[in-house]
Amino acid sequence: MPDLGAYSFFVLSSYGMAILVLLGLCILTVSQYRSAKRKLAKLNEN
Amino acid sequence: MTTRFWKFANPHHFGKLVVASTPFLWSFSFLFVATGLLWGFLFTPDDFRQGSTVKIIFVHVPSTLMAINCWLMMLLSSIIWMVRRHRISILAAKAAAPVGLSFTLVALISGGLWGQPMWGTFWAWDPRLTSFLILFLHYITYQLIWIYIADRESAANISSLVCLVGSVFALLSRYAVNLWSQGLHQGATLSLDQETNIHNAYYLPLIICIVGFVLLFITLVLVRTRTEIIRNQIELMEKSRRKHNA
Amino acid sequence: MLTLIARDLRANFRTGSGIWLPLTMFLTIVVLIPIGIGPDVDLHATIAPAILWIGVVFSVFLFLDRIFSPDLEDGFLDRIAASDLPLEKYVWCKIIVLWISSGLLLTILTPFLGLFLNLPLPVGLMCSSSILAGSPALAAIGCLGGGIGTFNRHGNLLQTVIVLPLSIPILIFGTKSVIAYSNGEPYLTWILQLSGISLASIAIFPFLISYALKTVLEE
Repeated sequence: MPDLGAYSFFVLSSYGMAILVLLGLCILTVSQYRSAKRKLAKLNEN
Repeated sequence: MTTRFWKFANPHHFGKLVVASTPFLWSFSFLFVATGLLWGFLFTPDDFRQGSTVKIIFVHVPSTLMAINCWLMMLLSSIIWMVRRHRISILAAKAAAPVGLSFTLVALISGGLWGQPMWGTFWAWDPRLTSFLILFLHYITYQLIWIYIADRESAANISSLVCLVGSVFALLSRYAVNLWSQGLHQGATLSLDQETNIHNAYYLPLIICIVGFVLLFITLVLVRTRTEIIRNQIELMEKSRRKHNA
Repeated sequence: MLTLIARDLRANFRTGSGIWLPLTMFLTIVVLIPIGIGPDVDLHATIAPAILWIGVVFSVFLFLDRIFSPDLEDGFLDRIAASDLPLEKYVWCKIIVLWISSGLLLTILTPFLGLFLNLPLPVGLMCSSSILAGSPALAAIGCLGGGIGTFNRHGNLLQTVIVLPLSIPILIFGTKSVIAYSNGEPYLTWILQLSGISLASIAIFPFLISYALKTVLEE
């Protein structure tokens, strides 16, 4: 852990925010893909 | 070459491409983003003027770049849709919009978090910041059109129209705000002439971060486009089934 | 084409609201903002161009949902689309009507309302000429929003979000020209650029709007 000095809040929160937003987008994308695929498979079964 | 590219306008070929490439794309984009961010966070020295806030550059610059490039990609796909009517093209634009919106959001927030300690304010009505806010508004408009126009065909037409007009007016606003007095934001960080580039210690991790963000963008757009194609299929099947039952 | 313009203008005059409502909106904004700020006369003069311009933007965009939806409801739009009159010409007439019944009227009113805001008459005249140069583009943008807004029950939201980012450069150029004039800087380039945007808009937007309307008609 590097010494961030007085600015630790700003550096940490910008990294955290970016990782949160991008990871959230990745999870959303994958879950949407999976649910769409599942729905298609169900439709094909019937 | 051209025929090989247009082959992927066929949803079947496109689907095979996505299925084959996503495992590599996911792993490589995570690898690059993680390496770049960790290197930037842990192993770069503090700037003698900006202190440790210089580390925000590894989040801020790649997301800014991708926010603009994503809009360009959407513009290109919209034009391809209007000219050649390839459905995947407009679905790719639709898929890219939330990704671009997120990158813009990351760029705006990280910029604010960098601005507060350096300029003493989260937000300034400086040319660069203002034009980025305008880009953000354009993204929101584009996204809302897809949300609120239910019919897919009309939504595709209207959204590509709005993307086209929006690009021209976004450029106009960029030009207009540039004529305000020069703001707080510094000039270009990266350029091809070495003289103005940032120090080597920051250069390499920054490049790795940018590559990672580009890969992440490609991955997300490919997977989201595939999702949209599947949803299209589902809608068509449900429609035909309803007709069959009735 | 003239008959189309005359028909719509007459309809606007007959109902009254078509021309009075933009004026009232403009007046409301110009009166309410100084009242909200308080009697700081110097501040009024500084922000007067912005107030007048924002007033114009709001009044032009006041009822975009009334541009095309009456014609869509009574089938006039379908008849136009089926006739040999190009849809683009019809849309062009709509832009001109919107401009006359909002932008042009406000242009005439601006120098007098500028006096309320402690704006000297020459600056007020400059402001009104910049509004004259910029409002056709606003009318074209408004018609685009109105055309897309005819889609469904979310049309009002859609037209607002479409119109908002597009009006930004017009607003910047418009206020900048007035501020440059009152600071004694060269201002002509701004006006010329603004009129260039307006001319290009009223030339190109009819094609875009009729593309949108065709999509609506097909749905």
